[in-house]
Amino acid sequence: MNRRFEQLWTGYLEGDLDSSGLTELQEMLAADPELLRLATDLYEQHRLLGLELQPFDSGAFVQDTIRKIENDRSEFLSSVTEELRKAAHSAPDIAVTDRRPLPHVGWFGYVAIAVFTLLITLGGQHWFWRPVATDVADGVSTHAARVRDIATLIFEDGCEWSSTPALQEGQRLPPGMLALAAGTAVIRFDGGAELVMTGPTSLVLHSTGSAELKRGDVVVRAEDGAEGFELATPLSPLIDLGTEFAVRVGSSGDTEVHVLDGQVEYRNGDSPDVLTAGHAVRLSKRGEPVEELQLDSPRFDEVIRRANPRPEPERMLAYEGFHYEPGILPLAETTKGIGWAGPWRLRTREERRLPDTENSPEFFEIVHGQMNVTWPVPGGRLGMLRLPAGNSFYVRPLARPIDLGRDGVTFFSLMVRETQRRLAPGRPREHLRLTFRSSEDYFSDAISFGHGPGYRPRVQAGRGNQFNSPLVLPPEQTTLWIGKIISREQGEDEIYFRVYGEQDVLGYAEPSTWHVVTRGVDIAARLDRVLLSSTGRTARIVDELRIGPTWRSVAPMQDETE
Amino acid sequence: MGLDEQIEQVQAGNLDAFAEIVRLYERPIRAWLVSRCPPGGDADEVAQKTFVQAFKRIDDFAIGTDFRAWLFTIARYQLMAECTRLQRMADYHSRYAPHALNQELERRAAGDSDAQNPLLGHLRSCLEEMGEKPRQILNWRYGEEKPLAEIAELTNRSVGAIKKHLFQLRKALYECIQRKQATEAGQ
Repeated sequence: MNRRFEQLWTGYLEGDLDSSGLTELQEMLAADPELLRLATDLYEQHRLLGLELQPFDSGAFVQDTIRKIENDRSEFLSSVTEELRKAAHSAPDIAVTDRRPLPHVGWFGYVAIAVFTLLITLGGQHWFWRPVATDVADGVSTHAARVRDIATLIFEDGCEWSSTPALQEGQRLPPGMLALAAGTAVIRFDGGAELVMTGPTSLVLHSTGSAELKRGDVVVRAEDGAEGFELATPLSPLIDLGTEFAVRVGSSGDTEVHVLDGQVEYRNGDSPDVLTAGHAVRLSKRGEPVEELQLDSPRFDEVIRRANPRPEPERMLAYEGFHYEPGILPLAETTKGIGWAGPWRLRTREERRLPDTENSPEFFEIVHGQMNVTWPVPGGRLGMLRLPAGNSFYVRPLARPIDLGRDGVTFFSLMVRETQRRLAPGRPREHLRLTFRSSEDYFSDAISFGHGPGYRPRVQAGRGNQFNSPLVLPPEQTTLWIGKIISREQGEDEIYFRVYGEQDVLGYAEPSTWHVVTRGVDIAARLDRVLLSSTGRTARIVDELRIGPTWRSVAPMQDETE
Repeated sequence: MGLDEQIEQVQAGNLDAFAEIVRLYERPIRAWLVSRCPPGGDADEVAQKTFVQAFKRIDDFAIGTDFRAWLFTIARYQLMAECTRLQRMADYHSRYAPHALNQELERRAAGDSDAQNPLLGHLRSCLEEMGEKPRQILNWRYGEEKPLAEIAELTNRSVGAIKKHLFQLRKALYECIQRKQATEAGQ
């Protein structure tokens, strides 16, 4: 153990290592496998010391776990009860109302009650388990988990897929074959590497850090933290050593490698060797370089530039730009925008809980030119909504609900201007939230994006699931909120939230990292209400609410003008 | 009552029987997760999710097969999901963890064939062999989570000296564990 490692490692474990120290430690570990092994051993030991020496209430752990299971079960049963109640109410020839002392229940109602009774009799819990994919691990057959997704399709342009049903931009990808007949697609692996493929190309995704190119053209970019990405080809595995390289595999398996930046490790005969930037070679069947080629592959950014990522405003499901003249606007006249089933309105009595009284203004205050828009996006310049100090709760129905019971991807974006950062002692109750709710079960099945008193990005999903970012929002800035919801018919839903400050750069595709990432959320509701809520003592301005199926439909770049 | 009978009861909906199973496996599951969970992740939360998932999937378990291996497979998947979640959080690596360390932890988690953790037994035995004073320092640091400044005050030493002392204690423990592992391998 060298002295510098000792200093850095102790600082790391004691939590007082600054970012330059962390970078130095990272470099030290990445360069020395033996030291990395030692550090990992020491890390394990450090964690186990906590386990061994800290008091732990095992009984409380068991009780909490059982309580969690009971809560899940009771939520399920109450949702079944509610569904059946609704079914009984909505079925023809049925009149189950409070006004009738002896309600007449039709055939549908009897069926509903019988099904409900059966559910209760069977204990309920067998009915809410989702079917899952089969895995075989360590020789043990198990249905323990669905196949784990390992990558995301972050961009597609004119893609025709021959291996799978059409893939959607933003979709998560499990291991398996991707056969692209035509077009350009960009895959971002969870390990950090990005790969752009141009059809016709056949690629097998193996893991978060590896894939196999069967045929076609790809360019791989593995920047900081993603080095080590392995691309298998018919003739040699290629390992990215923190670089950018292009690979072309012909129909007979002939393989070319073009190193655009950094280094690539490959198998030269039986031993590994390294190709450096500026070199392009054709490999023999033994993986040896047999011919030096002219470096003619376009770089990663060039392939993207040629694909010309265009905004997709036509794909928006809903849009509200508050395009009104400055001044006071009665809610009944807030009819502009697209994708809505009606104007904005106050909450109904059934939709009010906290606070259960309504004192939101019954009008919109429209202002102009109060955002500082630093991104090359349209909007945020003319009409915008000023939410005054105090409580404001406004609801607008969507024409097309977001159906969380189906496989799909939904993005939203919202421009927000914080007029004042309150830093009073205690925790000032300053909230701004955009919530998607269901008219069928208004309070249970909702997804909410926003910030609370600590000005940290937050997502709330379903009952009681709250996810907070440790990052504090930049104060008194115009920010761009972007959220992503991956809904699944079977399996967990995934929700992501990122807030762009005035200094942040907006990319052509979704970011590789988000401020909030959820886990354990599984909602099957149809979200057909948008609730905009602002509480506290400061005014806020919002604009440009976009809801759509792709990043580019909600984060439009460049060529659109307001 | 045997484990298979207990699982049959759980499959019939008996939550009390499942509580017994949680009690039985809580420690080994937590021990494995604690040592493999990347910095910033909450191993106890992952452990709880593991048990909740196990209950949800209990009908898929074939009585007579290896329940421990089945449970640890669920834990491994839950841990992988937690790793993915952490990696996708902005600034994670610059705030919490050297990337290489995380990669190595993930590699080890994927390669643990039986998810046994002999390290914990060796660690316990090495702690027992330690003198009372060094053990007290470790207990303050890990058991009571006292700030280093407080430990320094209690021992009349500087914070820097305590840091160095802690490093030496960890190193001594590491060497002790290595010796025990080597002896075990030689037997």
